[in-house]
Amino acid sequence: MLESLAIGFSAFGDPMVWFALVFGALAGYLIGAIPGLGPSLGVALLIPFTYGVDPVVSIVGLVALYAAAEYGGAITAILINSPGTAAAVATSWDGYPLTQQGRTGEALTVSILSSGAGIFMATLLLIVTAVPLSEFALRFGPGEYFALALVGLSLVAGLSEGSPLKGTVAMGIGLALATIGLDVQTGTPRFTMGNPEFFEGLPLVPVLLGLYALSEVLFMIEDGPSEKLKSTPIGGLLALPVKSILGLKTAILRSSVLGYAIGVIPGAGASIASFVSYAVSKRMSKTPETFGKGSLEGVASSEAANNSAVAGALAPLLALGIPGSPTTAIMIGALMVQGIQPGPLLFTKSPEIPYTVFVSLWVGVPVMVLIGLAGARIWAKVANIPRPAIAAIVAGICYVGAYASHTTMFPVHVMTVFGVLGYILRKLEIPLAPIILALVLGEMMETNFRRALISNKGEWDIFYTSPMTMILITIAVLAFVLPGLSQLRARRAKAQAL
Amino acid sequence: MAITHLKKLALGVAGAVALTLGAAQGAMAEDWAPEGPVNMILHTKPGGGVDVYSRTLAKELEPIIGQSIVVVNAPGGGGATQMAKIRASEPDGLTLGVNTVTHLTGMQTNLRGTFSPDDFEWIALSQIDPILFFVSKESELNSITDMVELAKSNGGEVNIAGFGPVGSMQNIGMSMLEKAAGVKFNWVAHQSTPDIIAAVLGGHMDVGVSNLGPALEFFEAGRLKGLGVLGDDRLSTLPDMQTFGEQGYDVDTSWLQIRGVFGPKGMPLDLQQQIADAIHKAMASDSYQTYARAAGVQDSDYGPEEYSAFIKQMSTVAEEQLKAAGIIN
Amino acid sequence: MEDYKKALGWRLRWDVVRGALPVLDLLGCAALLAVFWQYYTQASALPPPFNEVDIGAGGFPILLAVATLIGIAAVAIAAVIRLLDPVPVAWVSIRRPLFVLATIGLLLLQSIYFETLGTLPSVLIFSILTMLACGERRPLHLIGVPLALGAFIFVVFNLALDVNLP
Repeated sequence: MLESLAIGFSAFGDPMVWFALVFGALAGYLIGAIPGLGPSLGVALLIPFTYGVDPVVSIVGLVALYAAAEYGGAITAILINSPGTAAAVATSWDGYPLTQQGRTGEALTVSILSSGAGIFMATLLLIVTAVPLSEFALRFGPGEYFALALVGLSLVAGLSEGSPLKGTVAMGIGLALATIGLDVQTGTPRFTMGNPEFFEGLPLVPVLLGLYALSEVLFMIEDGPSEKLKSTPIGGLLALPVKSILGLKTAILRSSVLGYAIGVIPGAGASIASFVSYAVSKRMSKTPETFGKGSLEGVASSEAANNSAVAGALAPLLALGIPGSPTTAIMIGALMVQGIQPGPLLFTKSPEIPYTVFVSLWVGVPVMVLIGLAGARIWAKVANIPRPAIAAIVAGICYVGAYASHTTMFPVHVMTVFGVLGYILRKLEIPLAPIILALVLGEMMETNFRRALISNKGEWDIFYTSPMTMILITIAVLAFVLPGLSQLRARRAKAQAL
Repeated sequence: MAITHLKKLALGVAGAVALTLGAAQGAMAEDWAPEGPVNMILHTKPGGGVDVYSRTLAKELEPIIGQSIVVVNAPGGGGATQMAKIRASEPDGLTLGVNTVTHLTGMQTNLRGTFSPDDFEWIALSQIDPILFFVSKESELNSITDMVELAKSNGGEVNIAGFGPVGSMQNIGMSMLEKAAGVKFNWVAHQSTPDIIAAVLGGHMDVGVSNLGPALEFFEAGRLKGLGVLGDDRLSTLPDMQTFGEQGYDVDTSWLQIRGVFGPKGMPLDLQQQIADAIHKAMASDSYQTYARAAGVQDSDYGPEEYSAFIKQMSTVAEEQLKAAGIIN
Repeated sequence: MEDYKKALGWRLRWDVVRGALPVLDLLGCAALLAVFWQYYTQASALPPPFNEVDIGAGGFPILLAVATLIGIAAVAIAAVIRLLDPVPVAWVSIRRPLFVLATIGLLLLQSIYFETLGTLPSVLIFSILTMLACGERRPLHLIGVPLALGAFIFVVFNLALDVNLP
């Protein structure tokens, strides 16, 4: 293994590889920060540039872009309460309150450091466990996938602000939205109103942009041009980073391991990872009451997890040729153009690819963190731009970003409708996070539910005979019921006090 | 019968592209020289198999035609967004699209009445890709016959994981086998080939269906066993796997996954022929060949006439099969 | 202007619209009830599965619709309880309602005319209007910000990322 790692390091003797790394990290950072452009679109847009480039150079550039773009989603989550990816939704829960308190710079610094630490830790795990863990993940059958999706949903419905009942209804709305389109099993159009544009379902990115970013624009209109809190400038390049990372080390460590493990399971991905880590950190925290009100621990947990999930998603890709996330699925395309077909023989046939990926993840961490720390200073000033200008900029970029996501008008219409809808839902205090996560997981949930039934002669016992499914479903039920009960108790106590 | 005619059509497809190319080039007096950049419209998002194919082809095509090719991703509506854009464009060769069998099955099912094969000109077939059935190496099944026997003995309880819903290309392939063998299988729809392979490797599904490319490495690693291939000949990369016909199941072997180029109705045949020649010339390039071999697909040299006939036949087969399965009436 | 977070009582004025959350909850529940009832009827009308061990295209949506309808009913009941409860209810207010309404109109217009106008003209026009709606009145800002935004979009999307924009 050390020898193979040496192959990986030797690739960095080539200045082109360094160029690809820095370029990828910078491009990913910007792409992630622009509403509407996320890691998968970023990688897809970069693929044409990789033709005619050496395979090692192109894979280093793509991996750097993927990791940095997954981080970049946090920037808008913290600045304007509009997560750029579904995985950054949990980041916005604490990141935006921090911005409202004038602590933008601090939140951004913690987020980039946790992301870097997450990738670093997860890469260590990746090198040691990529093969055995990916083999283990194969044991996840349809029943287990259904249960896993249920765990993700129940956590977010229980966690999100406001009443758990409304969280449940929000989840129902999200799942219903996810059923729009052609039925995966029978091909029948469902709830499409006869319009073929809906056949492939609602596109996620425009819905995310509408619900969060455009509705936030309407909230800014409400606030008007009145003065807002100036964000505190960050002093000392290293003082804050060192102090904050030491205080958060347990949360970061735990979230990195969790994020990696969840990322390995194909299809689970960064969003479940960040929600689960956030939930676990809140349970284990000494100050759970600060979560959702500007807890640095919350930002660190979500960000460490969603970036370590990047390394996790690469594990089944490199070990088995099975992509762990939509972005890695696109990366297979990029490798194929180079004549490399990822599969179970990648480690034996072209070891330079996986080991260069490992090393580039490590080398990429300091590059990414430096870009991020420098960026935090700039973004903290962006937070001081007058509100009307921010509103106009966000709206403008949303429209162009939505159009760019498919290069058709359909996503633009979808985004607008969900912008207005998001505003109404937020006024009614119906949480948005369950809607987004349900939309992300809905298809995985339904198709695996039905696959489980079909492959088991239509018998329902598949959901309680497998131990792994049982455990996951139990966790889901507990995560669902407990927060509701505790809130009911709190309300009773309040009523009695009166 | 229509099926045997189609078999003949499909025959001269694989292999010697370079040879036939030379002949085709010689026959054509003029080369394709478009007046401006060419838009190649896809029905998929960036990064998928169709996207990789189109961009590799476009890169080799650009120097041949002396114009740039803009690959436009227009996903949505199971191809409807793309087909609408192409149908509305001028038949001047500056707007082309890439199609697969999905376009044909779609026109018979969800997009029936919205689009039909007659709305377009079918210019060139470029790739063909037979489907194959496989199991994990631990499986007790070793051939299509084993699979059919298992289905007979327990009333259809063989779970077959394949790409797309009932009525998709691979599902029709399975139902043709069902008909030939007189049994029923249990179709479990998946949305990507890696998902199918993972489900088969993990023992969650009995049998998987896919094209060769994504599964090839797993065969080489000894993780998967092939049961049979739906084609006239065995695959050169997996010479041990028998065809359906060799195992005694008479299934229409022209039912292949395809990738070809089409355009709006009314394009002059000369122009179509020129475009087809340019495409087949680009396919002979080293970088395209490297990609195509890694992707496990076979080349085809069909020009507009052969391809149009091929599309017509395939649509007929699709319609028959979908009717037989009760999906359309 | 009064502190909107603590203010109570129904209002329907040009500068603020305010209502009690439980009452609004009931209105929202009624709307959702109608939507999900529609969803349920459409799901029931979907064709049966080809394979009898499948629950069919409508199976999961029907389960989902029933569960969500129960959830909506529960939210409605909770709202009624809260109205009857001694604990004071929460209030929801919309400030500057006319401007919010105008901006919603702007967003809808932009989604209709984005392709016809072209990217840059529509970004320029609508960003000026959005800033006006948000209360910006300084002419330098009103001109500078849209121009900078347009330039940024052109450089990033058109030049760097090579996206085909209208």
